[in-house]
Amino acid sequence: MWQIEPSTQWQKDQKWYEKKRPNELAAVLANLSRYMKYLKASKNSKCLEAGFLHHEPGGVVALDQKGFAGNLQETRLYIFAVDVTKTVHLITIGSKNEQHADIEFCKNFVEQLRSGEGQTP
Amino acid sequence: MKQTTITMTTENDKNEKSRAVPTGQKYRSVAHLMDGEGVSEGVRSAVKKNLAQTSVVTQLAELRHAAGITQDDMGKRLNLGQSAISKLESGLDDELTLGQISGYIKATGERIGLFFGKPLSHEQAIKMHAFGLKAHLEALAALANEDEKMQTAVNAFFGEAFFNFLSIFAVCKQQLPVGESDFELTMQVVRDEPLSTSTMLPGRRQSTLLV
Repeated sequence: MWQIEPSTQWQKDQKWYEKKRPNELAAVLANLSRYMKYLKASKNSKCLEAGFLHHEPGGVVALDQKGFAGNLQETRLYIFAVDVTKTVHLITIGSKNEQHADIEFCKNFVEQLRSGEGQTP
Repeated sequence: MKQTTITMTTENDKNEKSRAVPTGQKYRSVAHLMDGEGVSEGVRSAVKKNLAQTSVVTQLAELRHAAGITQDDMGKRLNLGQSAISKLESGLDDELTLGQISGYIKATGERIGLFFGKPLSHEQAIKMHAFGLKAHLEALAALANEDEKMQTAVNAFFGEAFFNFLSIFAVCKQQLPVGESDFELTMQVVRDEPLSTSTMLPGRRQSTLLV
């Protein structure tokens, strides 16, 4: 059964979005819920397709705010799914403007995870 | 010369992203995550509302993923483009047409039921399913009366189904809080062989069910 594991950065971002952009946070969490259902249904986590889902370099997936009513700011929830441990890592949340830096940040997170450095504190 | 200092507030001011590590805290669902991470009631209720408005659309997309059909393939089967499928799956349930639902079902080879109206309570839903089961069991019993071979098969099926129903009740009963209970489910299997008794749940009142 797939599980969700937040990162220390995601916890900080969640607090910021909770105060400043709660609707955007709700939108990406609703899309995370859909993503988890698709993941459960699908045989291959890398083949998921949805309008709110973007495949980024290094296996990182960005979930946006689409499908949620209202005029929301472009927002991305960056995640990484590990098939072996059936874990979806929540890495960070960012806006469209921060996209490039956020993807680099996520790639580093994934590299640490793969090398075994990104262990639980 | 007068100097003006302009301070720019950027998105990055919200927090400097330093090295992140997994927290070690694992959640089985988004609802569980929101509980555990202290997400506000306002955000939780907005998520719940959005998911309720897109429940059918999400299930159609789930069926497509389970069948291993891409959006492009689904588009071809429904005489639509890939972008139309993406838009449909990102939309609201109210925007779906019966033709689109039917198209998904034909493509995936699944069978679904659609219900409109006030949601049923768990108790009402169990009663509704029980009446449905009764109708099917009666239809099977009628078939069994027509032919001897069918009678044997239906008898075997009734026995198996009865055992399965009891097992389901027993498993669910075990999830109730531990404490004094007036209800007990005890099953006794009677065969040609020596009698074996299996007590599924302890308690006071006993009823014997013959399979």
